[in-house]
Amino acid sequence: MSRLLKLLAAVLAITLIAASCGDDEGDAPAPAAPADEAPAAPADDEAPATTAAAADEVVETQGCDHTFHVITHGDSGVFWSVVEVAVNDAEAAIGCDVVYFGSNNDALAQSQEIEAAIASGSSGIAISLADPAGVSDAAASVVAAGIPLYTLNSGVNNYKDLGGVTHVGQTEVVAGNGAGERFNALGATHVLCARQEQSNVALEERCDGLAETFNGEVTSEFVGLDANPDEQQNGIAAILQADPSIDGVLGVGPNLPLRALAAGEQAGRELVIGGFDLSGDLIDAIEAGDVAFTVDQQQYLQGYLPVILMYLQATNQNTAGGGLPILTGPGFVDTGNASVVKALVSQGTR
Amino acid sequence: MADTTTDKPTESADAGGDERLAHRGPIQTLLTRPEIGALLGAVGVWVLFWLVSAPFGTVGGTANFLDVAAYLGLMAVPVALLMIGGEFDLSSGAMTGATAIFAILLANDINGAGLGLHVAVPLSLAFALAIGWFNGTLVEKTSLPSFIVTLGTFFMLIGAKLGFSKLFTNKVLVEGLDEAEGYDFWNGIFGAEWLRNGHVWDVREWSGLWLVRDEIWAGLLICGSAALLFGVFELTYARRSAVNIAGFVASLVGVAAALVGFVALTSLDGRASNQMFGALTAAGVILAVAGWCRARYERPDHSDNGRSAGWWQYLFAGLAAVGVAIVLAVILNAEDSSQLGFFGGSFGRVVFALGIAVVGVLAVLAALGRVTPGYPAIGAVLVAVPAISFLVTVQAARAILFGSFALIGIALLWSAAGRVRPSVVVSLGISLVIVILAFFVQAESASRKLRVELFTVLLLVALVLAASAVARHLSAARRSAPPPPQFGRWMHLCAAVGVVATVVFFVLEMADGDAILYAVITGVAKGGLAAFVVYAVVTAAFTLLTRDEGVGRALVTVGIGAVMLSVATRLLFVTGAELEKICTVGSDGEMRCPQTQFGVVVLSFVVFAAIGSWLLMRTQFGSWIMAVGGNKEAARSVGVPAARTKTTLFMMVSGAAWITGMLIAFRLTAVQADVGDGNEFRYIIVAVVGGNLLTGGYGSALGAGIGAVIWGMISQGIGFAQWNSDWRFLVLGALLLVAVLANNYVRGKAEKAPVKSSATKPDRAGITIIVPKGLTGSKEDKE
Repeated sequence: MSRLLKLLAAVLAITLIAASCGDDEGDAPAPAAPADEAPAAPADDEAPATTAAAADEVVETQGCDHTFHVITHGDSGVFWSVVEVAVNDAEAAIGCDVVYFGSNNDALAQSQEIEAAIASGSSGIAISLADPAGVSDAAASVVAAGIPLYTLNSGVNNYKDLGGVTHVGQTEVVAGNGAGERFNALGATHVLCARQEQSNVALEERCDGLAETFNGEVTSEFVGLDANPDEQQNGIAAILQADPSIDGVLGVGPNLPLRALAAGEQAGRELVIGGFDLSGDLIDAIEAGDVAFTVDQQQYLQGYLPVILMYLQATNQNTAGGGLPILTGPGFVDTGNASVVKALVSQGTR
Repeated sequence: MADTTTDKPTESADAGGDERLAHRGPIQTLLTRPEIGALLGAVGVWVLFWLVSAPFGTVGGTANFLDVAAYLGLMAVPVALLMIGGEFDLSSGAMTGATAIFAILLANDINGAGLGLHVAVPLSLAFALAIGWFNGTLVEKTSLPSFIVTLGTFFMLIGAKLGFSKLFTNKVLVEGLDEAEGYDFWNGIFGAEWLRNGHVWDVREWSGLWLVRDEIWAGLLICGSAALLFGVFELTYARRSAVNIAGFVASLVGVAAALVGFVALTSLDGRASNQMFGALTAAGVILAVAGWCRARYERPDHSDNGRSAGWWQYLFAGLAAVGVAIVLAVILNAEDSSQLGFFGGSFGRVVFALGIAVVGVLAVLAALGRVTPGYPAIGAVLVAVPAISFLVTVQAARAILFGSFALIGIALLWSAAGRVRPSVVVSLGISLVIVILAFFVQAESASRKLRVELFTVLLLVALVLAASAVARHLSAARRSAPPPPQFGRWMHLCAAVGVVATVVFFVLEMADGDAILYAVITGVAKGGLAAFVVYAVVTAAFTLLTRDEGVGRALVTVGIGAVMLSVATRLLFVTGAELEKICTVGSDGEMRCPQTQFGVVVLSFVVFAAIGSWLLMRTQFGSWIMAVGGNKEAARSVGVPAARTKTTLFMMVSGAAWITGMLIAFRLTAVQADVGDGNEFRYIIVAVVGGNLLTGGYGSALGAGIGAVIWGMISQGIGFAQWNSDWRFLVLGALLLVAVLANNYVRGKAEKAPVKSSATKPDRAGITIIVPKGLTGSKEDKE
């Protein structure tokens, strides 16, 4: 029995250390939990210190009494982490509390978080509408409670009906259109639009947008989740081998273009590869000329702008957009600007 | 082996009426194995996609689905062992990504803590093993369900992956493995690949060997199949006391005729000569088999002539199914690649809606006990047809319908043959039907694949069926299991040759300046090959020259080994002619060839499946796993260290997760925080498809491997078949269900067949249960 107690004590100590490490994030450039002290001690010392730091910050900003919420369907992927960084940067800029929550594609969890934000007396709520049917009830009750509602990333078709102020994002169809024109210019004739999720409206719209402007044939297929990179690569290779006429691949995420690159080698084919969004390896591949371009929807703006807009509406009664959405893209990254963007990506802001 | 008892009948010749000692033939033993359903399912899925997709059956396609299967199977094998031991590990999926991220974060120069890969890689193994130990110990000490404990670990790992990635890199994609110190060394291990295009096996370009790849692999396949066939005969039929010289001579004549026919068949080219020498080969093989059976086995007692009820119904149903297959192939257009789409219009919708309503009503009636459940099931299949018809094109439907009706027809005819004694005439008739089918396929098909490959396969199937029918007619069945082989001390020679050859080849490779991993693998492979050759020669010698009755099992081993070597030869080596065929010149004037490659992951998968099966079936630890999964308290009371066994299993899972994590990390050099999340359910699903029970105590490690291959084939085959990926999970779910149902059905049938009433459930056939010496004889049946 005593062994079990020791084990529990050890677990407790580890949890406390982890908690203290977590608190350090973003607070101060101070070194992480000092390793040379006794394991349990720093956790006790650290806790009051962080509260004090938070209190200082509030005083510095002359008592902002607004709390804003950004509640998205985002997961822990490359894309949404930039949004979260942007939200945190905007929080630091305005000095008010901003709560970020990513529901990981769970519409129910997102709705519950929105209800909780309403109950906590939020001064502004920004949400993403990846699943309009699942979240619109909660969104309607935001407006009903008299709280300004903004949509970001996805929801451009629904924000007006729900009574939102404006939408900050890229319309996916327009982004797809842009990609289609690029493929025309690059001389592709048959493009595979590879998706990393099924039943995601935004990804389907990108492929639809591609088909609208692209002059050749478009095949749109789901090739595997980001959690299974080997399946993605082999899935693209399988489609390439089955259809010899495919000479271009548009991956509608940042990882798929790299998988397409490997799949093209596997199948011994020459491909024009385009992508969506950014990652370090993708920019390297663009710099090297292996990937032709990527569509950047500049999601940093999608995290930063709604917070600023909500802040200005709460403190200065400004409403932006004039009933129209605010577009953050499409921007393109190709060999011309890859090296500049690369530096920004490594900061985690693009 | 004094302290072991087995459920398998022992060598006592006078089995008497005891059902437990009744001899099961090798086929029946195979059918009661847990993985048999998965094996049949795998064959079925392969044939399905081979029929509807051109590149699926090629080496490139095989490498493609094997790669997906290997990442899955590498984990599924230890997860299956853990499931047999009665526990789950929900953290296994998240752990694969966690070890990868842990290693990269430690190795890189982040916050001044760059330890380099020489420290980070072993440390991440220690980290994985520690988590496995933590899971196992917590489950054991608290007696909480492992489901709950590992769910906690699962969430903690997901949170830790994300938290630490963002904390140290401010991003969720942890990059830069290739910049870490020691990358080249570790990449040589985890990133190693077998590039098929780099291994050209031609007369000119390959040192020392005068045979080219195609002769080697075809020869191995033929010899292996022959060894397998004779091994099965040996295990099935009773030996006669003295060799019948006339039969032996006939057998030699048959072999000579078959050889002459085969050589002429391959070297001459012309329709008439092909048919003539093909017939000569077939006649030679059948004569060889007949002579061999007369020479070696007892004559059967043909006094029980007769037909059981209903045999002619099977006969006509079988002939009708074959007829339907041929008619369908003729009326459906082979060139039509438009969607089948039955019932597109409003009429179709009405029919579909009515069908659903009828199925619903029947289902309610079945629930109330008014009708048997078979009716709603048949209705559901009928409703499914129009739904599936949106999935396939006319030409694919033609291939699928022809294939399935032909298979059903052959199965029904085979069943009819089983009801007639003597069955040889009907069986030969079936072979004839298959030959007719083969020529029909050859005449009707446009693609080379069907005209040549399917044609050949069908002819070979007909030949094997005819040969086994003749053998069954001429030989009496064994009444007791064969004794173990007598060439025990020759095994020492095999081992010695293997070890010496391994060392010699290893030294030679190292002297050539190859990387150490490459040298080790090639050394072991060549050493194993040398040992296998000695084993095969000894087995052949003992079969032909001695009266040893125990060679059957060895022959089967040699046969399976040779067939697998043949497949490996085909997969791993390329010929110059093949390269010329597959490479194309791109628009930039550059030569592009499909890069078929096999990563370390495939090797690890195969090794894991082999080790897992060996552990489970042949070692004490395997018996412990079965015992703690079946009934932990009972196992403990007979002296099984239950806690240690389970903790070891958890650590095996996390160790495999470490290997998987390293393989992913070195393949991508950048790992996203959610890699592997959610895969734990795939591992469990794959293990269940492979015949493992969710309740523990029963299952097979090899089955989990086969289940992974099924998953890989289905998920990739949909792409190869150019089916819309929206249907992916519909197809995946349906095929997985079919595989599991087939598993259940086949095993149930096979278990019922030989032993009429059973107080002891015979589904543990072949499993050795260790019982302490004093307890032998009081073995209780845990169920």
